[in-house]
Amino acid sequence: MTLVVAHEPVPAPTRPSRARGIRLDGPRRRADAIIATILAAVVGVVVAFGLTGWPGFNGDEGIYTSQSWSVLHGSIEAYTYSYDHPFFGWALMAPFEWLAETVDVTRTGMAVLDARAAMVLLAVVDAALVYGVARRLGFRRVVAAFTVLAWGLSPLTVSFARQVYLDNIALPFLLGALYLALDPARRQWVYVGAGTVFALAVLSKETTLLYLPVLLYIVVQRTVGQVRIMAITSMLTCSLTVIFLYPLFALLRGEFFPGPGHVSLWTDQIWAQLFSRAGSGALWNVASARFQLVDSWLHLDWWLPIAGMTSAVLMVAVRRIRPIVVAVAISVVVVGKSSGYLPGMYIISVLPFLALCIGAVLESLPGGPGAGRVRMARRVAGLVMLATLAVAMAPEYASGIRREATVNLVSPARQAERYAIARISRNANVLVDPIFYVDLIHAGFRHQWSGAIVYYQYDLDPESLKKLPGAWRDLDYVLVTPAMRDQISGRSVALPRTAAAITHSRIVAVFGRGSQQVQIRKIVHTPSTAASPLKASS
Amino acid sequence: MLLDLLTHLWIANVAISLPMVAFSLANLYWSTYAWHSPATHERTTSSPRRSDVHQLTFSIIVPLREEPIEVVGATIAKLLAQTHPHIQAVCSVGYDDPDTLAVVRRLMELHPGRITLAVSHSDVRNKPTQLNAALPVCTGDVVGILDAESLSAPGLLSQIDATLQDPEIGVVQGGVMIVNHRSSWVALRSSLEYYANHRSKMHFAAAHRFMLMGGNTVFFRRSLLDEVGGWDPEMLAEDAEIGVRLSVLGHDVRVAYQPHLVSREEAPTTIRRWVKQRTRWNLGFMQTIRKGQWRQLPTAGRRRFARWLLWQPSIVAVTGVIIPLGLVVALVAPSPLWATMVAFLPAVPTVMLVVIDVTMLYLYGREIGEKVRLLDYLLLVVTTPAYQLMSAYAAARAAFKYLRGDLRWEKTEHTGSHIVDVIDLTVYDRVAS
Repeated sequence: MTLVVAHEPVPAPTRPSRARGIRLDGPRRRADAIIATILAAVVGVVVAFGLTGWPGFNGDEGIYTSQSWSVLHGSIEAYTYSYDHPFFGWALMAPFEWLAETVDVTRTGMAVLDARAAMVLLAVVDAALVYGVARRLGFRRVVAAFTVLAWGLSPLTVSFARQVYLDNIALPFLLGALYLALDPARRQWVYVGAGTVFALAVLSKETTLLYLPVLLYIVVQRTVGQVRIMAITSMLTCSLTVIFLYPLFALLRGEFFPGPGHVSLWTDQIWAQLFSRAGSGALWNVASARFQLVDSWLHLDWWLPIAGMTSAVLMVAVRRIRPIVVAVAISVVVVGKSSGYLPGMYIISVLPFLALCIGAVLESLPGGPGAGRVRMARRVAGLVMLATLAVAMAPEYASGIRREATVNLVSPARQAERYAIARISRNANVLVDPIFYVDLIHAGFRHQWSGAIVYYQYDLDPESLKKLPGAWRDLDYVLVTPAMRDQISGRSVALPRTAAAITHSRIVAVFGRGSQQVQIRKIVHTPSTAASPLKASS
Repeated sequence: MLLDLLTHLWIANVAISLPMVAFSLANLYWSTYAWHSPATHERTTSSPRRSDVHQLTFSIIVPLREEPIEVVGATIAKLLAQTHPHIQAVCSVGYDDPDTLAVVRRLMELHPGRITLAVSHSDVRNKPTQLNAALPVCTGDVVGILDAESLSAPGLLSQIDATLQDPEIGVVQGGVMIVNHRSSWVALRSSLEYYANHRSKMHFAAAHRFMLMGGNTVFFRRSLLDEVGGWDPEMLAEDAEIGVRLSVLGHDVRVAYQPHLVSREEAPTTIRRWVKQRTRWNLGFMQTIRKGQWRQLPTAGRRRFARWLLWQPSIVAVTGVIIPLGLVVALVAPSPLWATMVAFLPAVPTVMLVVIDVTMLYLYGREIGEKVRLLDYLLLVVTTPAYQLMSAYAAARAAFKYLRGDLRWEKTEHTGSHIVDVIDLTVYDRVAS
């Protein structure tokens, strides 16, 4: 296969007058802006439509929503801040969540769903940035547009883009950093801007740091000599210094190094992430969590991951695309390595890179030199190729999008919440999945260590044993969601106090069926059930 | 009362935090102008295609005061060894400086017919009066200034001649480099500062059409000097001030920086001398601000730029002390955590400043063809706080003198360390060939 670079995106530095360049570029830029706006709107609509039903709630969504709520009420986290992630992401989300809640954008009265609405804004920005990055990689408009749609309409993208995840908050910063790093004029201070934006991505979700080599590679590729030395050092310094504000924050709170009676960034984040968190098993082990996770991704959409990875292999040959290939390679290593914990939302940051690789293949096929008929033939060949791909993926995407727009996996939880708010006394202590936390507060429950109590912190927060020493006897109700059941039966974290509470309770009401079931359980305070093996372990 | 003040100190600290970030970034921005993009890099290193043009005649003024013969001798020898054939060397000496007069007479015997002596009869002992005294005897189309201790590269004037073939250009600022950076850490600091200035900052200023020239290796068309009436004898920074007037009249300056054509001079090696020199520069800038001719620049944007540029030394001196002070306050004084975090933001450009200094030292070493030792890098990083304190002290001293109206000229002494220590005179011949 001959790979021909169709357009050189970087104007030669010696190109004569700047003023002339601007005059030529004006209408072109406007055309790009219009196309990007339309694409972003399309992606935004598809992501937004049906987010109150699909996908089912993940407990993390509730955690970030409640932390955002806490920021609005003056603290970083509802409970003890445990350095699980930097707080920049949910602090940034807070005003948007407030806005979505205030205008009641989803008409559901559920804070988590309002926070999902805020995620749509991010997907819109992402779509525009994917288009911008594609253009700066030298893609023609039609190919860049195809890239955006291949990414943004993938059922995989749509499903994850709706969820309240820090990875979704980090993604626009990551894409923004790449967009800036691809600056056609190759300006040092734009690179510094790219480094700063990248730092914000890392401060939103720390795993983004894995993509630092991609950013460096782009800048190294596009600069030479003294300009390169200056660009790299200033960009890297700015980026790392901004990232280091986070450990500095921990230091200032006296919580960087481990010590008696307090959490620390070192043990709870760095050490935990690197070594002690239970792994997800090997990808080739069908029973492993890792295999099941990857399988669940491919179940949503196999087309984008498979076509994207195939394209990435082909695009190793194209210099300009190689940094994107490196990004895909980094992700493949993270997903494919046999040890370590693989979070489900990790896929979010990988998807745009896969789509860009597909776009790059399309871009490299037609065009190039040759006049008249040859050129025309190549162009037609390219368009046929594009159309074939589009036809191949269209049914897959269409059925996925339809399912995600119509199926409602959320309603059991919504019904349970409505029931709880209507029937449970405001003086009761209710152990809940974090997705209910903010709504119960709005409904008049007390919160933190009485009223609404989040099960995760009930087990893991160092304050918990002091505040609620009586174990399940301190509680009146437990709201059990599928996510909660998974976590209790799973091996990654032990939650004995929550398990004991469930053991000492009876079902009052049930919503949904099978794996989607949400139960409202009442703690049984009779002496006969008091003795339980689970109690001793708490 | 004091405790009350201390508990509210964090408010002031937060308030100054973002302006400090802005000032520091602005300083970094123009320090790195030459490397902003491949385009600026090319623009700041390009030179006229031909460098052997010999159409103009040059008069080079060498202002002298209490100079030892080794220093002046080397300077004059290098000047007369230029490849350009039409050079008049003008030594300008005060009437009350008999030793230097004797030195020049001796040199005139050594180089018969090539040196003109100009004697300043003014009782004001400063550089501008000596320059003005020399101007009437200058016969060249172009008048240049070369400091007493500065060694010019042989091809320099040919290059300047070629540059001035463009009739739009009225003034050319040549490059100056400090070569006694091994003498002391103060000299190392000065070397780096000169490098940033000539390699980058001057290009930035020239691109914004408001140029404060240096006092060394600078060349004017004779007609321009006549138009503005020479140098202002009241000024301590006469070199910068004449730049203001030329900018107001719309004359553009070309900065010609070529690593192999820079003039080599020495920097003060002790803190005392450094502070004296820096105080004089700061005072000169203050005078220039007060004289106010920059207000006559045609557009508001250019006036804004001029104001920023003239205040820049004071701003840098103040930020250099305020930022570390703010960090200490953030750590010590009681304050909400968010306020402490905001107060720490200026640490970001401060760390960048140190890293960019190190990067520039690396580039500087490569350009002068000398390997920079690890020790030099360490010295550079370690002395940053001391250097910022010194800058602040010099700025405060200048402000104090200014308020007292003490505008005497504190001359920088020349020891000739750059000649005996560092300069192998054959280096120029090698570069030229």
